[in-house]
Amino acid sequence: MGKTAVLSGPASDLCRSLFARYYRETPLPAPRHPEMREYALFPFDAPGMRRHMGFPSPERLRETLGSQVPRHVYYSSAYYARPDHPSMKLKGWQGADVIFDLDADHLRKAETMDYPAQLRLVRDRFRLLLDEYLFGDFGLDEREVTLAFSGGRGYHAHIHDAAYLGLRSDERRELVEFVMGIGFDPALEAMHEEGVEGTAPGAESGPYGEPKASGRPGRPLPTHRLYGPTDPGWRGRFARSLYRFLARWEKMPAEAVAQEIVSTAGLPPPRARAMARALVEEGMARRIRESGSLEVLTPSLRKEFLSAVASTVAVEVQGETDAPVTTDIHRLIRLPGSLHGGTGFRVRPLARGELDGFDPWTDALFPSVPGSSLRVRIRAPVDYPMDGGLRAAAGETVDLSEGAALFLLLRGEAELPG
Amino acid sequence: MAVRGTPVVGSATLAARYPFLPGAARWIEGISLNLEELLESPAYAPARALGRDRVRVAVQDPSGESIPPGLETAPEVDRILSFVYARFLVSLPPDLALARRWCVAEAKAAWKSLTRRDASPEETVALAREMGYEVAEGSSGTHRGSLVSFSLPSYLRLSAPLREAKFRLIHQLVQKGRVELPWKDAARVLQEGIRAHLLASVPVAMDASLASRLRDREGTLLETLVAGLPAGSARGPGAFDARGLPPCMREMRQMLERGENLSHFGRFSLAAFLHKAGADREYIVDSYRGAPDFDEGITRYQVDHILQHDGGKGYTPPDCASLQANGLCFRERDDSRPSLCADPALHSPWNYYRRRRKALGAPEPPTPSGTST
Ligand code: SF4
Repeated sequence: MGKTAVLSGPASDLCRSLFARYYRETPLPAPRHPEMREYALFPFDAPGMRRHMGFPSPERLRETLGSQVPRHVYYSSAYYARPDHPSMKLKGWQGADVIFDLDADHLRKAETMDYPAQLRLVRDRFRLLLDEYLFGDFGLDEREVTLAFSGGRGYHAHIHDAAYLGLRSDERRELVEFVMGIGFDPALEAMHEEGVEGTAPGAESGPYGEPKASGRPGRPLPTHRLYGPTDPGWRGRFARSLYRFLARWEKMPAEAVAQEIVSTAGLPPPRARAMARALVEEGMARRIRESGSLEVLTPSLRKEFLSAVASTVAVEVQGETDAPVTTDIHRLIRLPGSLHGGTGFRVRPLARGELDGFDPWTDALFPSVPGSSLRVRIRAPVDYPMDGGLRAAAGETVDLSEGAALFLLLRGEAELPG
Repeated sequence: MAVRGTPVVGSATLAARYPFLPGAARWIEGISLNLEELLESPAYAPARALGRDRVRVAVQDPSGESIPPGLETAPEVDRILSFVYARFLVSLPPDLALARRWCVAEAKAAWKSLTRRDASPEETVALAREMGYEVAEGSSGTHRGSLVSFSLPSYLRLSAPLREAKFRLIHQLVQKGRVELPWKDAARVLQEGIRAHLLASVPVAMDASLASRLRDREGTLLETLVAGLPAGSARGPGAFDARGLPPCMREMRQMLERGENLSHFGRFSLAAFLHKAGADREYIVDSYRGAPDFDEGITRYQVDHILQHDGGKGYTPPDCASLQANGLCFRERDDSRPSLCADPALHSPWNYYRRRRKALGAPEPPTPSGTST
């Protein structure tokens, strides 16, 4: 989380009292096997964390949160026989949830955006991660994955399907690299080299603009045939993306296509323009799409097409995630249901169906007592979609909901007046 | 999937062919075999003889190509018990070099059997299931041949230790939590699972009196077998001794073990050095298994090229100056006392190895004169 203010004095007391009320009044969802997890609490008034804590029951955890009122609460993705043992070796590792952590810090193009825009981008990319990979290729059951808004700038997926818990770090790395598309080479893996038996392509197009089977079986397909959108794994994913691109490019001016190729594939502009002209003006894009084959291209153009266009296409479908989080089998991660000490947002558990309409600014905001308000003085200009749109200049004193005031105080963007 | 070759085998046959399976252990329990009897009774003499042959063949040829004479035609009971006896034998020596070699050979033999002419994909599936993996017959593709479908976690457990580019998840047909592989590739990833499974099962726990009786009876054979292990597998006189490795070579090996990338020059240096130090071909190939782009076929080809250079003398490993120039000198990790790397007269990692071995009390290492394949 970018800004987390060091708090002291009355502001710290106020934030802590709001956190205390939350932990006293809110029933937290217990993680799976809460008694096998290690917990770590970050206090409000001191640096560092208290880790190696264990709780025999969710009630004891709740009591401790209510009495110690930590600023941040983490728990282990791992299950241990002795979670409170100070030595990692002697904790007795029994397995670990597989965590996927997507944070705006790791997203392409996020660095130039403001916080609300980052939250929207990260939600979209998280949706891709879930639908394409976790619930798509990996076929995970939604009941075996806990999703949560991290309370900061990201989302977490905790996989607790029993078959995954024993995976070692190098095995988890394979999952991450699959999601990130590391090692997929379209030049080698996008098409069949040989003509194969199968159903011949017809004139109609399928949902991705790919050729639809004609229903005439047995006729050999042309060589350099692209894999189809329904093929498994990265072949299919790449094909879906490629056909989408081709269908879109057909309707664009060649110059705009060339620009796209330059910016994503880094091809020199004259080469990109030649490629774009061939694709758009000479109708190659349409012919590739309709035949499902790269045979229409000359060998040299085919090679260039695969290395340049393919890299443009692959980027679009690459998943993003924070790799070390997934490969770490002893990771501490924010406890769903707890409060994020840098924003006051709830680390909000989510079902997949809730994600599309999820808006952290209302759905994860600290629960204010209806009708209550807090007066704060703004330290730097702010513009957030909270409290129906919060805009204020530096030095202004404003009355805000508890959630909005807490957010600004914790981030150091406001202070208590007087 | 179309049924090809033999139908799914009955469990006793499967146990005889793949005696490491839990089914074989259940079968042995079923006949209430007494270990004393296996060791002493004349009734089990053929099983014991076959057991010795299993180990002997593994030492001579760990490729799984050679089959102990008579094994294939022996009664199922003898085949299963010979495996049990062999496992006792390889558990006796104080270090596991013999056991490791035997595990590799048994795993390769299992792979050969899984892919033999009259075998069927069903057999591969049945074996994988018996080993606790979640496997099913895959869809049949007209151009792909028979496919075997693994659950994603099962596939990861089997394929990740292989670290072969071909088996990386990114290249697989992954769909809805299943990974489909051509049948023969499925047998290859299972081979690795079998090797790991076997290795985890040795040494077998034996009570002391049983072990000492077995040692009395088979001691001479075991000594011959251990002596027959190629350099690098055993720590015999003059054999390769990893304790003498200089920091540069140690670090390069660890880089590969950690899955980090090592430059072409680094890979070449390591292979040339290990060969000169007397490590055998399998040991050298194994050193590369961790490499992120490990490909068994390519590695073997490259290692053979280095080993067979100049009539089997191999290449001269680089000197310290070249390693330093390539950023592969790790002299600050030298833990020998006094520090050998600090000696300006050292010049080469080979000198380090010789001096270190001398300090450790080992005889002068020989320089190989023929190929050690
Ligand atoms: S000084 Fe020579 S032997 Fe020692 S680490 Fe460097 S290269 Fe290797």
